[in-house]
Amino acid sequence: MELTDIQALISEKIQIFKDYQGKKELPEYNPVFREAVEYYEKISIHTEQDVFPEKLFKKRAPNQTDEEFEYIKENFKSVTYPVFSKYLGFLNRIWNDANWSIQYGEDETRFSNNTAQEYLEKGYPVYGSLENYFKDIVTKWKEKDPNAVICHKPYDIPTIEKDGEILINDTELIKPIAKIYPSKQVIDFKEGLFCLVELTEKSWVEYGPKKVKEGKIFELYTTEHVWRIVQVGKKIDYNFEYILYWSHNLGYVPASKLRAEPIEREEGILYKSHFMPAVPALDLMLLDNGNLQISKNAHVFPQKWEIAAECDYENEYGHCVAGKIPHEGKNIYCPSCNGTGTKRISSPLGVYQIKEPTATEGSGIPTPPFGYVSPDPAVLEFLRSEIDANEDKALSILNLHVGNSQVKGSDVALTRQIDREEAFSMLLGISNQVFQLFEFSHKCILEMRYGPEVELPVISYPRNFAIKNEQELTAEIAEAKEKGLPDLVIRNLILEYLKVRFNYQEEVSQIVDLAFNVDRIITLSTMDIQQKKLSGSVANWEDILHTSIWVFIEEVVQEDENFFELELSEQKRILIEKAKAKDTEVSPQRMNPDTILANLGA
Amino acid sequence: MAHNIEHIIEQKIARLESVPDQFVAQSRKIQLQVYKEISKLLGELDKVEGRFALTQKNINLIERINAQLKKVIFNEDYIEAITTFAREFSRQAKITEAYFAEALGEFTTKDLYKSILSRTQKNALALLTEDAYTQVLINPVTNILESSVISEVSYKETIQALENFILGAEGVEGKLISHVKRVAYDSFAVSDRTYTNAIAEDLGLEFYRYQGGKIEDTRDFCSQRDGKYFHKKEIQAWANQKWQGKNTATTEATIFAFAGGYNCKHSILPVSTKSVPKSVIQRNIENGNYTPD
Repeated sequence: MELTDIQALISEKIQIFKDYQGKKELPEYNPVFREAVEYYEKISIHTEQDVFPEKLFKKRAPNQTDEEFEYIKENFKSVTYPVFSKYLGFLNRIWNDANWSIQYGEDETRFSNNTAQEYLEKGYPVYGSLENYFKDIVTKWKEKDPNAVICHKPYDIPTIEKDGEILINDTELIKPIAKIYPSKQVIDFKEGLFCLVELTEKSWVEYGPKKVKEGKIFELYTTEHVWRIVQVGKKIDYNFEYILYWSHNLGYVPASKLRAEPIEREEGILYKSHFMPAVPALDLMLLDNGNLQISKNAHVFPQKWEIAAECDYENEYGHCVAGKIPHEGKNIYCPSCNGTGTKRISSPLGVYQIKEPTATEGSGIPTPPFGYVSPDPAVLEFLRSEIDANEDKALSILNLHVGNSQVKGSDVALTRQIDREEAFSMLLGISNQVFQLFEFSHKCILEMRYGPEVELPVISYPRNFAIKNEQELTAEIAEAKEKGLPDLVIRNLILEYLKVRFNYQEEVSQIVDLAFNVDRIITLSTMDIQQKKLSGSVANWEDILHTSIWVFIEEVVQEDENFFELELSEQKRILIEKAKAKDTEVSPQRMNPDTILANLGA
Repeated sequence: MAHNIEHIIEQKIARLESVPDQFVAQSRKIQLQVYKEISKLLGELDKVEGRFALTQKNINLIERINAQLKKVIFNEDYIEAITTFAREFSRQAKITEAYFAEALGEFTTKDLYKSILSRTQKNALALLTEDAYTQVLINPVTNILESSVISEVSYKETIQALENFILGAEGVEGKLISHVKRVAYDSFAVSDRTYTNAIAEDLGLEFYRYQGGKIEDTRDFCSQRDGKYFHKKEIQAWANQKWQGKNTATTEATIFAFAGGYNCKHSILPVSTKSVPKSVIQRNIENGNYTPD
């Protein structure tokens, strides 16, 4: 993309901005901009805590008084956020360490101190690892704002000073990072050509006699460069400085939409979050909750009523009419009734004085002439049940409500199975998209850092999302042993248990493999082992090895950090020797002819 | 000189009894210790109305008892006793060498003889170390305990069974002593005879004298031969005979080691031809066993 093309692009966008200045509608920077932002705003009231849905409440109750609106606003609670939180928890299954894997290739010798794996898993700026960034940020954003973009650029540019000049230090590896820009900042995105975003950062521009930090700053990602376009000069002139921030020369645009469910438009593609179908039910939840708050306040306490007569105050300007009297050409509040238009029939000392009824009036005044109204709890109950129903509906739409409670008997298991399969089917789709982005980020970052020849890691996408907790795995292992399942099955269950219990570590797999190789009684129960020892088919040192395998392995690794690089046969020999030595230590001195004959000379 | 050789022979034969006697005496103490330990540990087993209960705790305890027995048997005293016993084999070999020196006028020991001695020592000790006791004593005791627990036998019955097994009953030795006796006496004697005969073979000696005296329980086989001279071929021919107490592994080669058989404390001592009575020599010339030089 030539500089002239970039300048033309910016001019076009600035013109659109100017055309929509002062208007309520959002500018149409690109064919899907307005819809994308509206989608985000609809979802964000449920995905952010304590963000008041102003539009929602104003639209729903246009006759609502200001007082009521302010009351709702002041007392607003994000009752729908837990649904999104639960949804995110469900999505995070895709990141379970047992469900996916990544294999790095071999790094060139010259990068041995700055390997791809080290950078992406330990040295990644701010988040520590790219994986953390995807788990904590990208997965959530993808469902909040699928029309947002993820861009890749250097975290900073390494520089050196030479002859008074600041130059790029090309001896140092750059640190590329991924960065998300929400849809309202995505000015334009043309697949395979460019991505233009407006930063929230502002530049200094002149506004009258002053300098203000209100100038626009854009970033443009093309197939070869990352540009930084900064407004300069007078604010109203919209002049820009075009700075070549980084030449990545990748041959492709290092940016992508986060994506979700695609909706084709005449020009461009709009993405709708998988969370969106639940939004209408969640909107109703919020509204009903707001009404519930008002109802509680208005109705929960008994209201006192009393008989009141029409205010009959008058002065030289006039008499009270509906609480107001004329005064110097204006109507002011009546000083007697304070604008209410009525007067109490009780005296200040609390004595009720009732006008004697006439023959025609009859005795319409009740005795006593006051009382209390108890609120009808049915209203509150109704609102609560509506809120619960909408929450259930939202959870069901999101496949988070596994198992129809109406189903009874033997169909329960089948229904649960069907629900679970639907949920996992949805999760698989989202997972594939997230991992495609993950793979794309790896490509952009590593090729930016090491060059196009770098060997990219191989990522195995998740295929299974069932998560078992420790208790389930423990029970499964016990059952597997009892039923005499093959060692391979028990071994994989133990490995899965260790990963859940201790968080996956690369060493865990090596340790479990070694244990299965060296401990021939690893799958036997304690009772079995005792019986076999009594019958002599298990030696004491084997029992010691079985019970102390993890301690022994830890000891040998501490003694030699390269222990796992030894041949397997050597690893086994070392551990067996340890077990036998411990046996000699704890057991009575083993006597055999050789040891006795050896001691004869002593 | 004759007095010397007689003294040596006397010493050599006497030790075939006295050395194992000492070892057996040590083992009696251990046998009693084993029984006391078992009784104490039995008290910890779960019981219901005087009967052992089939519980996980009891199964675990039996495993502990098994380990504890080994500690009791193979304590420092026993190790010292067996080491002393092993040392006696070497001393016996020295006496044998002294015998040969006296009998032949000169004798030089060889590495071959040491290897043979070491071999016989090992064979003897193998029957007195941990593996042997495990098979003979510890496992059977454990089996008694296991069966008692599984079958929920009464405590009284079990303790009686164990007492009979470990300590013995009237006229019957306890298991440990019975094993020690059988092994200690026989292994010491066989080792001595094997060593003696190995040297005789190496030196090419042909005539032997059956010696050891007569005691109350001397078998007829030994009694008939005691004090008499024989050619080695005559001795070899005995392997084909049958007699009470004959070792089932007796062959023409092993007769020199096993002699009269189980618990035999006689020696078949090689002698120089000069000391053999003429009648014996003549007999063997006539039957073709011996050809004078």
